[in-house]
Amino acid sequence: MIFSSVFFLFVFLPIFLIAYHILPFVKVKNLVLLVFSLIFYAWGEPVYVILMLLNIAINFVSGLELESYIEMKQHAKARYACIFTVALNLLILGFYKYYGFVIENLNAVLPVDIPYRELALPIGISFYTFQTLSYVIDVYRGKTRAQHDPIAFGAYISMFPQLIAGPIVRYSDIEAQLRSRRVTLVKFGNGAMWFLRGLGKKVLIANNIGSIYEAVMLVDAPQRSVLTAWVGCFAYTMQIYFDFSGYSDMAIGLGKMLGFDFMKNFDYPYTSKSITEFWRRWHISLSSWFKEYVYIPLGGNRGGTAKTIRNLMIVWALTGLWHGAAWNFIFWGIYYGLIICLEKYVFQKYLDRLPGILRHIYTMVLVMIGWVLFFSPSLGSAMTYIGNLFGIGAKGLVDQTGFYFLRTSLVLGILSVLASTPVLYHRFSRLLHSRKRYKHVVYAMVYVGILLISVAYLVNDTYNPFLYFRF
Amino acid sequence: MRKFYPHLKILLTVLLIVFVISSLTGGAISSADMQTVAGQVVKGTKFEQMSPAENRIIKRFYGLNANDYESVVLYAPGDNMDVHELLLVKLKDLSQQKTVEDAVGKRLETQLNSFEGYGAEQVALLNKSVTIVKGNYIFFMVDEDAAKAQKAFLKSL
Repeated sequence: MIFSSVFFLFVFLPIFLIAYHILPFVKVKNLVLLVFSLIFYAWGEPVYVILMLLNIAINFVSGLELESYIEMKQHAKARYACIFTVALNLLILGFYKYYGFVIENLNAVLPVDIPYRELALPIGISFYTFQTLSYVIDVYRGKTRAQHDPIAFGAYISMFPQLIAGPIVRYSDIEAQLRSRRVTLVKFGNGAMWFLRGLGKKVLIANNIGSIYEAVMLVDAPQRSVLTAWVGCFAYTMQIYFDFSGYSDMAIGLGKMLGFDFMKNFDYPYTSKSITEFWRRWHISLSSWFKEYVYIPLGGNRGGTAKTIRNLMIVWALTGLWHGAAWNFIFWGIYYGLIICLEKYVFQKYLDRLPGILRHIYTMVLVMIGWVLFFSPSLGSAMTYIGNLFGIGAKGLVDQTGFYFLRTSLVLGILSVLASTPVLYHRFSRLLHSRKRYKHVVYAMVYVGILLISVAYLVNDTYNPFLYFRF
Repeated sequence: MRKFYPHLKILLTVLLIVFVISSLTGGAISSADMQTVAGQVVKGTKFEQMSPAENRIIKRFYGLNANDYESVVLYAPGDNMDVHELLLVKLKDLSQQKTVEDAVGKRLETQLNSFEGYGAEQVALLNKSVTIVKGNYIFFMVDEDAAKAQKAFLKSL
């Protein structure tokens, strides 16, 4: 089930919200949340609900075990128990996500052909595994106490608003909210606005600009002009931002409607003036997870330049690998690792001297090239596409097809560029804080308008999966 | 209760391992390349002399983006009154199975609706269409030789 579906909007969500809000006490609300989250998950993955329940049970018991060792000052036992649980979580993730990739590569280099069965990836496994890891590690570090209520713990792991595409919510950030939270009418309304903004981003912008990217991808590489290649790359750049940030906004909005506060996952990343800044604004929950649980434990930037570079490259290779079991994702991660190292030690002083617009162009060109590595089915096709962007193997600089794509995507393209900056939203928000009498009417009309137009689109085209579901 | 935590964890881990092993009973992945599979399937059929359709035809008929899959081969009908066609898809991962199956089902339904009432021969042929999902390969064929091609398909994987 996805948020941008008619069934979710008009059946699942209303029933859930009524049940959640009419029942008293946080403990009962947690139970409602757990039950509905499992139904939500089972809708697409009936078998993998068992995997999730076992995951919840193992990590719940592990948390209690770790806490008991720490209280009894049996630190060695606590350490082994933590390593065991972390390794188990990673093995399960690795098995479902990377098993086929590993065997495929072994088959490519070894003279034997190892038979294997590829497994369907349990949706959201990368997200919820990172959440369980944060829990186990934080309990071991003494940063948080173990959760003693299995319902609350189950609700945390399986919470449907952020279960399948994040943001990755760390247990320590949400622990208090699992015990006590309040939903006021203002907070509920604020959540509904976040949700509708996300829905609009996904249905009205991402899906429409995505169709331009898909049309470009139907043009075979030798028939692609430089203009066509850039229009396709631009369309994907916008699609992935509005798709993913739209989902995150919906998750944050749903969280608020239930009384939770999740961290912001995007902060206008396409306004960045360096790649380092871009990654401070893009998928913030993932970047901060890697910083907290990989980069800093490896030593961060405390061991000199060589060690910092090593640590950065490890983090970025893992970031790439987290996104998918394919070489292009690993290269995509390494690509960013290299640029960030170069910015840190070589470019930054020169970048700082450049006018803002040039720094912005520099960032966006590198980001767009990065997306080619991301959307291409293989490393070879990524290189071909990147070649096309710069005229290598392309069908000239411009052609009729390229102009056609440019013309058809121009209005939507301009709108998406504007919507990817804070300009539109800030202007609109200013209205809410003004003294104008009609402001609430305008606000209501805009949000109801987003809902109605989105629903009209959804009725016509119900299949619109989120790009980040496959991670 | 505390002393039971490690035992409980081991018990749950064993259950998890059992679940993981049981999930390995899914469809087998074939490493056979599409060129070989398609070559075997079309051998001796009318498609042998034809060229596969372009990606945009795949998009038009099935709504599938060929680039999203490991490989897609379509032999499309020659004209508007023709229904003979062959689609072979090699998936990137098994999560794509349902999308392709749905697309094939939709294509078949569209064709049946188009010919129902006046194209008795076409409808009969469409009703004999063969769809096979075998691990990472999907086969769909509308042809008198579908049974023969089906055997060749399964053998080639």
